[in-house]
Amino acid sequence: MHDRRVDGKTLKFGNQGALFMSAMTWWDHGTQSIWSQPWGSAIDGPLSGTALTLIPAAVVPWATWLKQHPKTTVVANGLDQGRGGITRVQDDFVIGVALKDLATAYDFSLAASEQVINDRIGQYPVVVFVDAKARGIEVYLRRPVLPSQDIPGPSELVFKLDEGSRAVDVETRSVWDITRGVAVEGPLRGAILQQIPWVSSFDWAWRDFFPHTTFYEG
Amino acid sequence: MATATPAAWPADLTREGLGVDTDKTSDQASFISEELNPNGPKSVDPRQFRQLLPQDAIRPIYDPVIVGPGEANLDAADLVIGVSIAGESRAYPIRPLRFREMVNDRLGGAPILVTW
Repeated sequence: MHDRRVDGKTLKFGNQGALFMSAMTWWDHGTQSIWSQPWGSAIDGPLSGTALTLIPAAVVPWATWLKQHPKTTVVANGLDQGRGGITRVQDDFVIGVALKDLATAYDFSLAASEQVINDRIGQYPVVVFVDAKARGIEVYLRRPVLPSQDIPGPSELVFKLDEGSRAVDVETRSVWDITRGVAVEGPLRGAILQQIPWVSSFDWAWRDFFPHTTFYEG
Repeated sequence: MATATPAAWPADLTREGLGVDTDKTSDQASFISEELNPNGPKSVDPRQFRQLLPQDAIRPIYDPVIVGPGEANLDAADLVIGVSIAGESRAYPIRPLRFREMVNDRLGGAPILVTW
């Protein structure tokens, strides 16, 4: 999921019909540049080297999404075709996080068994939440954005789940709504977390496109 | 590391103070900093490029049809790509995306590209 704006201009993207490093490519109608999907950046043409901004998105069962977002809208094109086919839920993928020149991948099954991973990617403290049952995945920067800069608070948090499976930070024991990234109870109530975009990827594809990646090992 | 003093945190401080509507769903996509964007490739090997089909032989969705949650012909277990921007949420069902692969859309004022 990407923002289609480059330098304030909105681009329209088509399917290039080509593979680059075994992965999908796009073309843009404005400049006919060719873009690599895993990088979200142009690899040929006038915009070569330009990267789109990645937007966080979830891949979840409809029931999970609807419960979290009851006012959601749906893109319905083609929904009546191909019914009966099963979109199989797979566990064999990594949660790929790329930040600047850094990259880390979290094996989904491992992350699902740990449920909460407090990690660090270079200088960035990150937390990965995985709800295996709902197939919810959330990745945040572990630096709370506090409601007021005048109020002292921890600059970095460590998260765990309490007995009721609610996310709490160890520092203040505030309770967090993890699907929204906002503290809903406790001293940090109203603080928010900055979401970090991630992609689901096969581990080999992630390694091809981000060869400097590390793999979280638990 | 500094520790928050609970007494220092007025109980009525909420996300509205940051201009974020807590009653709406996730607003985080508008809160993405480009600072965190992955850097692009340092070099590209053109030998790794293979043209297989004409452009748009797999036709992207250029004109998405937007419906409410009750009108969507979806089963509970159907996978969707979900995104929220500026309080607006939208689901892109995976099933048609297996044939269409791309959607050019707008959500919460932002032009977005959905790919599968």
